[in-house]
Amino acid sequence: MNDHPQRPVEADNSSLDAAHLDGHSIESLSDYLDRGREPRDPAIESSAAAQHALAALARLRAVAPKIIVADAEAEEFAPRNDHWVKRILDQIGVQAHAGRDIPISHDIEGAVLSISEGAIRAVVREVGDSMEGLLVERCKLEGDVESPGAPVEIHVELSTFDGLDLDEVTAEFRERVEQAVRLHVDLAVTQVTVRVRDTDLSEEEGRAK
Amino acid sequence: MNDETPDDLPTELTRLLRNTEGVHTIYAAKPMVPALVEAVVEAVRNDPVGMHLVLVNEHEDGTEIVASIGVTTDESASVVCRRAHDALREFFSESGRPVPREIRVSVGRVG
Repeated sequence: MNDHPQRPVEADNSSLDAAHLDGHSIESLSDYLDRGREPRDPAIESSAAAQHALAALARLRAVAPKIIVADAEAEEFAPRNDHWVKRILDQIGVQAHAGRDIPISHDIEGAVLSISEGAIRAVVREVGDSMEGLLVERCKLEGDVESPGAPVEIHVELSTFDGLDLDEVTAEFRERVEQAVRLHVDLAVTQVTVRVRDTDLSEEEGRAK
Repeated sequence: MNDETPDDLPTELTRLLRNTEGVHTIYAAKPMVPALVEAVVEAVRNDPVGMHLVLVNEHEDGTEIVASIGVTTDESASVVCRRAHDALREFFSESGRPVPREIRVSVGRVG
């Protein structure tokens, strides 16, 4: 068992992270979190991408011990600790970056309003965070999100623990994601697909179980 | 003697947005790490040093305002974004300044 599951051990994605995280790396953000976000770093606090990554790191730290305990106690669930943690960490920098601009309509000339793709991914992540036993690993918006009305599909990969009923939990998660995204932005979401990574069950397989 | 100087426009706009309902954070409209490097270069050159969260870009055909905000989850991010835009626009119209030709507001984070 890794004593510091939240720390990247093998991967060196610093340059990739820095490109996505307004010049910050996952390592430096992890250190910042270790220090209780003190002393306050204005460059980190003023970066939305860094804030997304910090939230994801904090969530990982909160759930990783539970998952590792669950892994030790249950034969069915096998996140394979370090591999799983590394996979999550590798995704945090990629998922946190702003990405494309999703337009927000406004009937005033000269108004150019938008919400970042990264903000919507974080909304999806936080839906998972609000549900016991879930961790959103990855969220992808497929479709032309920059064109109002264009069909968009949301694909989410989850880790689960605590012996959840996958049928029930994925259905509830999907519904909450649709509601949350609809609340914040006018996206023509045509489909939300959920894949539970660690047990390698697709949404359909999970439902059939 | 009064040593206080009036706030510059980007600082005023940042304060305005901070007081807008539903807005909890103003993010740097451009990443601050490269901006810090630029500021050091400016300082070395004795150019004016300034790092602002809200950008005010002057162009030949008018002013462009660029802001990135974090919003609460209590209401629609789109609604708060429009409200932030309207607050910026009203600031100019009510103070008798020319209304910017473009006001760009992006929601960088929800919650």
